[in-house]
Amino acid sequence: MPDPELSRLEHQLGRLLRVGVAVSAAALAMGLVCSVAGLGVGDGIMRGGLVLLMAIPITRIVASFIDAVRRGDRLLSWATAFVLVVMALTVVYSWRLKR
Amino acid sequence: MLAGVVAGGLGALLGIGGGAFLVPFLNLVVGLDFKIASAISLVTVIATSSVTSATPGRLPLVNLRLGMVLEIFTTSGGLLGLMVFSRSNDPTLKHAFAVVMAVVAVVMIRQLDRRTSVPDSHELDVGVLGGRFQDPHTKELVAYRVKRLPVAFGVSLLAGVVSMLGVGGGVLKVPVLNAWCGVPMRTAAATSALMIAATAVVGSISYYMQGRIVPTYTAAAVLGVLAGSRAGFAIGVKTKVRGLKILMAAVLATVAVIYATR
Repeated sequence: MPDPELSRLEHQLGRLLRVGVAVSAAALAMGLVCSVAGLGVGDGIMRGGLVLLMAIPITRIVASFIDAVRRGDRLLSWATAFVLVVMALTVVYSWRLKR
Repeated sequence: MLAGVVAGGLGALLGIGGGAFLVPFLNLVVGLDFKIASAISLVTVIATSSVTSATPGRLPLVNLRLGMVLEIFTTSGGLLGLMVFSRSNDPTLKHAFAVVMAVVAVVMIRQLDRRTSVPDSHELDVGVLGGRFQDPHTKELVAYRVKRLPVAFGVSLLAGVVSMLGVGGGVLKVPVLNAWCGVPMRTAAATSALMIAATAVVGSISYYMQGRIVPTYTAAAVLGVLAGSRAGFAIGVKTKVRGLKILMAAVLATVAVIYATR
């Protein structure tokens, strides 16, 4: 477990996560202000912020997957791949639910 | 927004996500539909768990391999929960939520005097999923093996299902991973936060596609929870939270009763 390469990636991902949440929060705040001020763009900006927020953990898993494959870490490759498949299935399921 | 600040602050102080407070607040006080309230709450869970699991001080405590393996079960549980709950009507969902709140209240009371259980460090073989880390407070090297893996799988699946009601599910996973599976408390909490982000995304994507996420309320709630959890951590370092935990357990029990009788 004390794998220096793994933890370096984790630190980079950690920074990505924090920056991502900060950008998303900024978009949400801006959108909320526009929306309260009665500007039509507010809704779109807020939706952008929300989509970004949802994309953050997905990005993390994709990065972990790519890194695990590169390092030949089979357990981690399979686990992250499985989680991504579950996410894809969720999208398919929700799409069908909507129709 | 104010609800988000309060929920986030309390959640951070008590070591649970804000969802347990945000869902009843949005539903009972603001008057949003229960399904909308739980969807909004789940989005705020992504924000808090992303931030808490990515805090530099907490990163070394995360067991990535264990987290990713258990994430298979939390996300599958999430999808299962979506399927079950999409067929459920409001009263059923509220009763399920009442049960979860009751469990959270009990867990909270039981954990009153257990905060940091750091095991002795040995030169033991930690196995595929175990880990080693340096405790940030005692500076000791801690090593652990993960025991009773099927229990960890089971509780992760259950936490995944439950989280679709708008809570993180960490309050179920963390005590079980700690007490039954031998994972140190801090590692259990940090690893759980990592899993919760992915699990909440599963629910949020689905709820977003179903149009259950109202941008204005969600934006206000996310900002509030982020501000609140920041404040909560700052206060939490200095204060003893024992009394607050008892008070909140009482609040949660009340919420459980309200939802149980609806």
